[in-house]
Amino acid sequence: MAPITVNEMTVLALFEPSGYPESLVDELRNAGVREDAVEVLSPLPLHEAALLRPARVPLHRIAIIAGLLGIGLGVMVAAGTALLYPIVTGGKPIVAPPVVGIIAFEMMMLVAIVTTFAAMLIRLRSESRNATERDPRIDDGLIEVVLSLTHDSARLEAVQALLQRAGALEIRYRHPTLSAPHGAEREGQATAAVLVATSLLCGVEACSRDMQEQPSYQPQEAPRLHSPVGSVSRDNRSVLKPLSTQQVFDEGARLFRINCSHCHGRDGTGNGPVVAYLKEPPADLLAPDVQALSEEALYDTVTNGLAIEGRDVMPPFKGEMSAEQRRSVVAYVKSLSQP
Amino acid sequence: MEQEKRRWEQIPKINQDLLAPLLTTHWTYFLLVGVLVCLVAAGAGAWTYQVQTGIGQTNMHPPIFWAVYIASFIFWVGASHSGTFISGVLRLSKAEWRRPVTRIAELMTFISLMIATLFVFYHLGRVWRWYYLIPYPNQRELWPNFRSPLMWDAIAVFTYATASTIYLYLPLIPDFALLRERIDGWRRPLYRVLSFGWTGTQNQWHVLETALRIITPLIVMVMVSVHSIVGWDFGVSLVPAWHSTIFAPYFVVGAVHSGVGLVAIGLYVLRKIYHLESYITPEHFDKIGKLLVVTTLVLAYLYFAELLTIWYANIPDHMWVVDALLSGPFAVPFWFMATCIYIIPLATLTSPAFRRWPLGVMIVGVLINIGMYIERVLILVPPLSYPRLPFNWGSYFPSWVEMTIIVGSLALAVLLYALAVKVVPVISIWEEKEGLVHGAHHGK
Repeated sequence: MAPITVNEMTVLALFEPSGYPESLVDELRNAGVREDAVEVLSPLPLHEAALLRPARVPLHRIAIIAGLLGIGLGVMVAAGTALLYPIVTGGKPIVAPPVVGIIAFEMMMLVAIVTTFAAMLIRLRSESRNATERDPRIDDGLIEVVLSLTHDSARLEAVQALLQRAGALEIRYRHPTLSAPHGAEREGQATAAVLVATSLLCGVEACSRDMQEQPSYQPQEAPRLHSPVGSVSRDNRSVLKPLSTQQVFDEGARLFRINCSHCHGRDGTGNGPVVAYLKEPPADLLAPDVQALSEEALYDTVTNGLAIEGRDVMPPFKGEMSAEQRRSVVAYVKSLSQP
Repeated sequence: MEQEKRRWEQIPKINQDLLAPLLTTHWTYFLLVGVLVCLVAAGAGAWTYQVQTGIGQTNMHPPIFWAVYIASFIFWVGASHSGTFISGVLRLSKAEWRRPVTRIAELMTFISLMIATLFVFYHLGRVWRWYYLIPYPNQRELWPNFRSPLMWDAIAVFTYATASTIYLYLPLIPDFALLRERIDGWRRPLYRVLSFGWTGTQNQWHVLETALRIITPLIVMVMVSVHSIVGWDFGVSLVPAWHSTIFAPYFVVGAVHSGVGLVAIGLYVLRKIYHLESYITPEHFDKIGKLLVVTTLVLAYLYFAELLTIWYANIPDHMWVVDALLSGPFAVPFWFMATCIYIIPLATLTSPAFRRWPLGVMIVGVLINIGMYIERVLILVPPLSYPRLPFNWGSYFPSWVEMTIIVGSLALAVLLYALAVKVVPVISIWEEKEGLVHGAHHGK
């Protein structure tokens, strides 16, 4: 639609449908009114096509193209993602043509229908007249003819005479500038509001999910960082209990022989029988840096094993030994440096 | 000319009659809404309880892992075929009598699909993880398996729901424009948005009619595909009495059967309450009745073909199920179902006089829907009850949680319909006017 300039003018004429002359559009054309300046508003589709040539709408073509795109989308989803995320099921192909066919069919329909609908809405909007031009009496069975004319008094009079001759019940004139295009500004605001609300909602995605996904320690998980020297585990305060009784020491020695000595050696110097097969030599437990570790740190290593730069060098023993047993092993290791 | 003038002069009366349900509300309407809200609340409570305490609140346990929730899902998807079949097929065939029926049926489609979707969620354990079902690249490295018929189902139902919403909305646009000018209050802004700048120019009519002409055949095809795929959920499995090629067409026809039955109920109730006798005439019930005779015959034929094949093959695994249905523990519901969906419709609707009796057609519609619901349960439960190894045979009856949820959902459907009646005209006003003015050319 051409932009409305100040010297344009709208003429609204109401007709009884039964008295509406089918030749009106032709007569108006003869009077010098452009065909695209004439609109006929009616409460139901008027199939007497003599009124106006309907605009050509490429909806069919849009539907077909959208349908083809939909097929592509369906193939991409059903075949493409099956290749990307292959799930092997006994005796079944990763890409199954009948399945791709079914999904492609549904996608074709979905995309074709939604696109046709969207195209139709856009077209409806562009064909819309200012709502204030629409006389409510149309819905009670009248037909309204809307003419957009340039402000030319001689032509206006001619058109008015023509309309009256054709049997118009009522003729009104409106200056488009007097009523600003209704709601255009508010619609803009509404669209902006929706966009802002959507982007705010997207921001929710960035919110912390600590409550939902906590950094809990999972079974079989590789060990995390050691606790700092001197720190006390919440669950194992008792580790600091004096552990120097002979009984505990003997138990620790026994368990050390069973669980540790094949790598760390009977004497703990790291010369066990399997050392030749290990990539990382086991630690010498008598070395000052090991002996400098707190009981808590040793306990943590025995419990969770040890990883250096992401490679597991010592397995965890929490499955092999109870907390009590592990403590006794720690006590034994600590005692190794004592003469 | 004189005749045409008279026809145009009836238009204000159409406005008046068809806008009346939106403008005036009887106190019994609020009573109905109140009762329905209570039932819906009961259903919501039962669901909350089930979510909190686990899916074990249902009576589903191995080997019966699908039961009334899935049966209700199938039933409601089937019920949604009302709108698309009646409205789509009749629009395609340019049947004049469709005009007062289409909107009523399309609203049913829209609402039934919402209810059907709910049943998928009722059926999910740990429903709060439902988004795992959506295909999107995620850190869980989970991707739906598109070879699963359940995935086809999800896509088909989504397509169908989207398409039928559009299909409901398209012919509503000119009516929303009318309502925008006739109704004040809280609804006006809604209508202003929904009428989408409709003013009724000839180009707009042309665009709308073109879009309807394109979308109608598409949605009819989607309708057929949707319930075929629901049928394949069963047909492609190896469970005895499910593994059958007839399931897809059988499901589609069954869906249309119950859908048309629902339309008969809707037509009767709305006609009675809103005094639409001059729009919905015995003529319409006659046509609906004829359609029901067709669907009854086709459905009975497919059912017979299915049973005959199983019976003649006499494979033990399959015969356990058929025997349980015909003369075993499921015989009572089976024969009740057969009476409701085959015998009664055939005995009554084949009589022209009966078909012109609205109350009668409505009652048959109710019986068909009860029967079809039982039929959905009978498709699910007996085959699952008799797996191939007899030590594992089981039985099932819904728990109170399941029954409350089902009743609550039915109430929700009725409630949504009751609320919709106050927002959209139940009969398409412009199509009724079009029929009045142009219908004569088609020999109405």
